[in-house]
Amino acid sequence: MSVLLWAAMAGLGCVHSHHMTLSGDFDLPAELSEARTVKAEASQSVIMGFAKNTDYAKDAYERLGATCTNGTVTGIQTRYSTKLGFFSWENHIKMWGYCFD
Amino acid sequence: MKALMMVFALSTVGCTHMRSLSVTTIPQDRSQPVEAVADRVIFFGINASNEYVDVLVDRLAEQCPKGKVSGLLTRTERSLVFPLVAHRVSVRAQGFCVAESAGAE
Amino acid sequence: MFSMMFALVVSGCMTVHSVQLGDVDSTVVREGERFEIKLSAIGFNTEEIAELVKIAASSRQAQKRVESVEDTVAMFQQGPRTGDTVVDPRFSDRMRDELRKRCPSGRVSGLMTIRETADYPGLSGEIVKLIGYCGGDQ
Repeated sequence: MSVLLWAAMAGLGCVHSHHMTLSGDFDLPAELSEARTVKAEASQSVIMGFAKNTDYAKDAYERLGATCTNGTVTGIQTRYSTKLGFFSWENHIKMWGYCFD
Repeated sequence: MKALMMVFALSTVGCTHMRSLSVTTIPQDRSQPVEAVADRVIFFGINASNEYVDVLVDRLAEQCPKGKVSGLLTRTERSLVFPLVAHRVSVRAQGFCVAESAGAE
Repeated sequence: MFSMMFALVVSGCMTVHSVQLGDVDSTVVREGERFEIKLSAIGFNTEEIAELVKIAASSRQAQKRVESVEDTVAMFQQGPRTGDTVVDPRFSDRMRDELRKRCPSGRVSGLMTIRETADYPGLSGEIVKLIGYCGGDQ
């Protein structure tokens, strides 16, 4: 019984916390079918809670902009989650959008 | 042991965690970035109002008097100032000032 | 026993974690078609699961064993949390595809994204809900 319990509980070690998913406005300069999908992501590893900034969010945002340098990115969906671990965790941001060049 | 715990607690000063974020449409014209921060240090978790955040829009508008601020990335952060005593809540907004044109949609 | 009864009483309780509201175009909201997209995953609460197992445990020794397992697992689940933990956080990634299906034109307004949790003993529903209005072709 205890072995099964250990096995069952150990399987819960690799878990994530989903903080939020956001959907931005759709400001369409043209038909949506003319857009191409772009995406970007960034993450931050944190050990024992030591993290001095949240620049990974800015990094994801700038990378998304960089995928559509001369265009407009709209309808941006953002996912913010954390992979939990042994006295450490990894914050993760992923963004998708529609790029109108 | 107590000294070690104290050192560990103090070393976490400045540790920052993001509470929430939002992103709006990123414009084509990104030649003029703008940024503003509104923050407050909160002692013992006691905070009577969140009106300190209200200045954010004014600060962005000041940097873009003749245009529209778009492509806004807004982050809400919580930083440790002193363990158990104080923490700072910061709302950071960065975007781009886009000049309003006659042919705007 | 009291804990279990309390957990059963409050099961199904909904908690909202965040709400984001976008631009509201009154014309689209009035004349468009409302849609709702709900995506979810099962969340696990190790502490509640351990409490339930302890209640069912036959001896004090078994309860202590459960506590040690719970403490060990907790060491591997450190970090900021919203709601309960999930195995795969990507359950909401298809939201944009679902939105495209509901509103192929993309002329949406009044988008409201809600992150919420439906609590049950030991488990939960981690939910992302998107409500909006589709204006159709203009």
